[in-house]
Amino acid sequence: MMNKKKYAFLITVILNISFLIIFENIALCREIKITISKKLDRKIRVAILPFFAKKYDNSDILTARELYSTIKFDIKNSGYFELWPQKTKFTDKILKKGKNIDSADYDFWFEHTTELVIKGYYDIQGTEVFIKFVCFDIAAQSVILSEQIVSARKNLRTAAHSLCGKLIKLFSGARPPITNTSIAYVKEVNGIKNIFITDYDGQNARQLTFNSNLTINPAWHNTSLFYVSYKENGYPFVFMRDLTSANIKKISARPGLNAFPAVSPDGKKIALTLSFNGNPEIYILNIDGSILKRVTYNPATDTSPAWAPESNRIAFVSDRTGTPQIYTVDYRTGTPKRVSYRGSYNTSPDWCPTKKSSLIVYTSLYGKNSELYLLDVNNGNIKRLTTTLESEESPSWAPDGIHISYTLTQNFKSDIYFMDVRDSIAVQITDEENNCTSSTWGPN
Amino acid sequence: MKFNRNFFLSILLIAALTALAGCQSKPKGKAVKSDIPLTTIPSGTFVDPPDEFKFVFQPILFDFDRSSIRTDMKQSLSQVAQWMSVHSKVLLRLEGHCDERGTEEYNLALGERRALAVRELLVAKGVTAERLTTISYGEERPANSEHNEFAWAENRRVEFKLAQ
Repeated sequence: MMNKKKYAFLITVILNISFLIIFENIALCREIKITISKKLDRKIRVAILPFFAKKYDNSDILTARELYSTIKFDIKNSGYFELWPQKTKFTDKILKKGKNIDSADYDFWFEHTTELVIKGYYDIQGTEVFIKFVCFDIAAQSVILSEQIVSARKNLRTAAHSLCGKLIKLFSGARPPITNTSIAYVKEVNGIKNIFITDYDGQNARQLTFNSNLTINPAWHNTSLFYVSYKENGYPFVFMRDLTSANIKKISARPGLNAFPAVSPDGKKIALTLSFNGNPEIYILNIDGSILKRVTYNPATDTSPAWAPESNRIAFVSDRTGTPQIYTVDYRTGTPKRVSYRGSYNTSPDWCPTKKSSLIVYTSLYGKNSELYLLDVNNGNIKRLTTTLESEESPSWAPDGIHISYTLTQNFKSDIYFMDVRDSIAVQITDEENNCTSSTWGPN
Repeated sequence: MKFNRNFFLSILLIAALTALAGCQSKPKGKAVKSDIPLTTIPSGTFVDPPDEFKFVFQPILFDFDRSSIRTDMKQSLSQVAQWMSVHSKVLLRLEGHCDERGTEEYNLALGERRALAVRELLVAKGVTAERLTTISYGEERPANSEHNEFAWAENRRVEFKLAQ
């Protein structure tokens, strides 16, 4: 009888402990809900009509096509709009209505449940082009945006991006539009890796570095790009290249590893992984390259720093528990806090740039396949972003805090993609180059 | 009947204790460690070991996602340390590599950690720290470019390069 009671007590204790463990695990796996604006719970329906030539005999099919495709890409991928109607094909009669710039055919579009209509025209004047861009609110029967711009013909797409940016700004609040941003990435050509830059829509891709050795780890700061190159004597050093003047400055060339540069959002500090002390540790450098502070003191590998928006905390990767996991630390106090618990291989964190954001995007490896996750460092909630059979890795936030670029690898071939973290639909950026990795999204 | 119940309860207890133990993460590596700083970047050109010494400088292999020296590799490192004590003017460059699994980013740091682990052991075996320098190539330079377990095992390595 006594025995029975003892056992009953033991069982209760054990069950309680087990429940606690299970419950804690459940708590850690709660989903993150991301809402961009409290007013919107769905996307706004937009129709874009082809832009026409102001003077009929001055029409240019290439200009019209380029304007339309650029605007369509920006609107479709902004995160705020969807193209509408989705299925109905516009007849010539409807398209001709696009020529009336003073008014939208409100009743017609209202019937199609379209909410916004974008119309415009272009006028080619020598090497320049004049663009008129108008957006109508169908329900209110009014013009919500009317812009005009004069641009060099070769910069037509930049001009169209700016016009779309102005429209998106009306809906995005404090989030900066990404229509004029660039993405830097690493591309391997004939076995040599160099840094390339492309517009965020995959157009205008160009090579930035022409080194004959490894060049990797691109990181933006305003109009400068930081990167790691093995060009000097074959060792990995950190360089900074001013994109306007093309001047190159050596930032860190200490013995051992100099890698993963990350400039703080306030532009005053650089976080790096350095191993001159005998172990890979996180350091904070002044912008001139001198050491401000050593952040980690652990015999494990500490690497991959990423700044929080307020420029004091960083997220980083450490394998101090035996497997690589994400930690956060205020670099001034240096007490790390583990934030990732699910999975046994969590790396490459990037902190959402939106003011006060607690969201980190990172890569989690399962067997041979890696996936992207969102993590709220305040409460440990996570959200899985990718579920494909391919591998996704190395995510980087866009300045709007709702898009990320990343590497998608299929059959050992890699390309750069981006997605809106709310719907996870993949948009391909590099055009089946099959050898592009390590993308990093530039400022707007 | 009673025996059965006791037996069942003991199993439950053991299972629960195992689960509890599994929750506690064990810290990796030594609790206290004095790092051996890398002081200079040697200016010499590092080359492959000459053929007659190739057998000494076999690549040091590692387990997946690990930078600790495997017991079966310690013999090989003793050979290297001994060779270094005889050839006292030679500088050694330890080149850390990873297999293609894992993220490119993390592998660059892991490769450096592997090279540093080899360096620590060689120093412990009497090689002067100043004669040993490290470099990481992450997963950029596989020894075997196939995509299978055998290739990966071959690629998780530290190679030796020599300079006078």
